Amino acid sequence: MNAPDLLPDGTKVYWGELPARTRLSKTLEILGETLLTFGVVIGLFVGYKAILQDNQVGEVQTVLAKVYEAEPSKFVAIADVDELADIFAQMYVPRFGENWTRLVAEGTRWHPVLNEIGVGHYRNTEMPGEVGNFAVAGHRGGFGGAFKQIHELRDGDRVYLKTRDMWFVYKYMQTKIVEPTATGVLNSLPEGLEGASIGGRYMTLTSCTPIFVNTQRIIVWLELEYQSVMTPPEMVSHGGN
Amino acid sequence: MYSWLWRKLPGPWPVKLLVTLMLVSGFLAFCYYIFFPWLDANVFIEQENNLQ
Repeated sequence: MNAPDLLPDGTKVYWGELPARTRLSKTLEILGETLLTFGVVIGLFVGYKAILQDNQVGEVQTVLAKVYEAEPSKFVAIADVDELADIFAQMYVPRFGENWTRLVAEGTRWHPVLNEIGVGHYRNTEMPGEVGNFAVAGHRGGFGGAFKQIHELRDGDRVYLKTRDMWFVYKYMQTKIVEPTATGVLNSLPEGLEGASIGGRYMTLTSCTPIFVNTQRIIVWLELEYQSVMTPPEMVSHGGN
Repeated sequence: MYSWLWRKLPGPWPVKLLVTLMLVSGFLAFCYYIFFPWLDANVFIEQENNLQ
């Protein structure tokens, strides 16, 4: 028995053994603490995915893009694009930030395109500048979230594409939320695009929405404004080719 | 579980606290460097034939 506690009035209190805990009580303690631990780990994972890994991968993708920016001859010429992950263009979207840039590669597989490079071209769609629909995908959050701010695009915005030999400037048309199965948005005559006509040169950006819920897809359509071997005046700081 | 662990740790409470912090750090390192990247690569996988 332990030494007695002394109350202020001088009373001595002797503590006896506590009643033995039941098996149920012990089991509930382990169950409860395990569940709490799971909750904390899930919270940590969300933080990892949304912030830490997102930033790290985003920086790697940006550095990779800068390498190509400095050395345009590394781009695969559009006519030669064939293999998954062939890098053939660099994308600039001023609305996403002055320093935002990503490479565009062939195919939309997460690995090795969307996760490592950033933006992927749907293989059965047209190439930049062609009549039809040049469609690309990018992650919304995590893995550098190439199209994290896709919902901010609006009238007057432009997307700039730099390839080995040519600049392409696309102008914003429309944003739409669709089901993941609505692949008609990728058609040469995009399904759901108001004012689309045969012979149009369109570009489609697709990404997941809502961010980190990913049950639907957000689509942004643009149309070719012009193409030029000259660097567009507003892109001069990103180098000519 | 955690109270059992606390009782099993040796030494006075500052030592127990130090060992606990080390265990927690080790667990976090395991999560961030091994478990989370694995989870990311194997659990959240793409659906083919859909819009990406």
